[in-house]
Amino acid sequence: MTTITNLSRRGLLKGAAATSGLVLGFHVGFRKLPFAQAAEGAQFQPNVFLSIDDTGLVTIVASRSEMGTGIKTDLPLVLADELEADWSWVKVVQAQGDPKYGDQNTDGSRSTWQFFEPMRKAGATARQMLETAAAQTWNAPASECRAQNSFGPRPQWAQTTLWPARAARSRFAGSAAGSDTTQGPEGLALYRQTSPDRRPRRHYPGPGHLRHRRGHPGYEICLDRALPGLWRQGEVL
Amino acid sequence: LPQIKINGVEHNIDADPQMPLLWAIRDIVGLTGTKFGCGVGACGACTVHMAGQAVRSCLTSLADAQGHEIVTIEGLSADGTHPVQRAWEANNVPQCGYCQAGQIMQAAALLKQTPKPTDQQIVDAMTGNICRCGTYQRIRQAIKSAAESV
Repeated sequence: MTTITNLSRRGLLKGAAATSGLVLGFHVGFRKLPFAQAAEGAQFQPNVFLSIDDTGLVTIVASRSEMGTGIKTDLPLVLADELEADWSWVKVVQAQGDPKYGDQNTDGSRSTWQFFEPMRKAGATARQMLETAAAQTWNAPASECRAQNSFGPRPQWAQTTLWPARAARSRFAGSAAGSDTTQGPEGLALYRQTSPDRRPRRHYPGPGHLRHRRGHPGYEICLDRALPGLWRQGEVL
Repeated sequence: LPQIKINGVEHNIDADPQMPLLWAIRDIVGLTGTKFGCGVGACGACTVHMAGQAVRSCLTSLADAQGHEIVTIEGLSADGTHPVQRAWEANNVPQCGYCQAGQIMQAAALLKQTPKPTDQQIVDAMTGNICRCGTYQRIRQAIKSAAESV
């Protein structure tokens, strides 16, 4: 039987203390897929998809490959949406091939349904941790410290980013919280309340569009390898 | 040696004159924006301009290209601001992007020859450029918007 080890939030944040930002790991809970099977008997490695630095820049790792379906935008957008992060402050980074990201096989129309929930949970959990840190910072009830597109809701907080990662990190690293990172802080609803029109329905341009129009979509590592004499293979046809 | 002017620069290509221009552009000159798709002129990914006309560089030998001015996607504009490139960005045309350099070069040649094409002229000109992602509707829209700005 596959064993997936729960990592406490406290442990994760302590581990992140050496980095420049808040780093949140979360579980990808599909046990029956090849990645989990391949990990049989081995300790589960948490996937690290999200980091927030002290300037408020949100970096989200796209673990699946962009092949025209928009998945490099789609999955980070799910996380950013639940995080209440302003998309203009989000930087999407393409993951290298690495087992720590789980199954990176991008085919079969599986990426969204496999990763929608894990990405959503990662965003929601991080948002609630930051909201809790903000409530402690401002000495206000947590219910009044709901994030709104990266900023606090009250007029006096309107220009104050909710993402002071250093403060959040120090607070949570010192807390006694030890639950699964996907469950969120005690007593808080995991997902934010949604309304159909809260996020503007507009096109979110993919990360590579400026490169596309110059003929360099970003797959050059494997496609631009030159093999001498290969052109002559066409003469066989 | 075949001497070919590519994006305004003369190159002495040390290769068999029967080598397809595409291979010289990519592997010898090092301009990899032009893509290899099918190698038999059936997809349009390798489209470049030769003497102002859109040609399939996979079917154009160095001997055929000699003496002509070649323009690739890298030479279409200095900074990606050709009207077609601007329209491509404004209309969010690309998905995977692999065919797009060829699509843009084909569209740019069309607008150079026919600044205000009809819908049918656009379809006729672009019919040899295949897009596996299926971005055809946005390609047509981008060409129309580019035509308005030319």
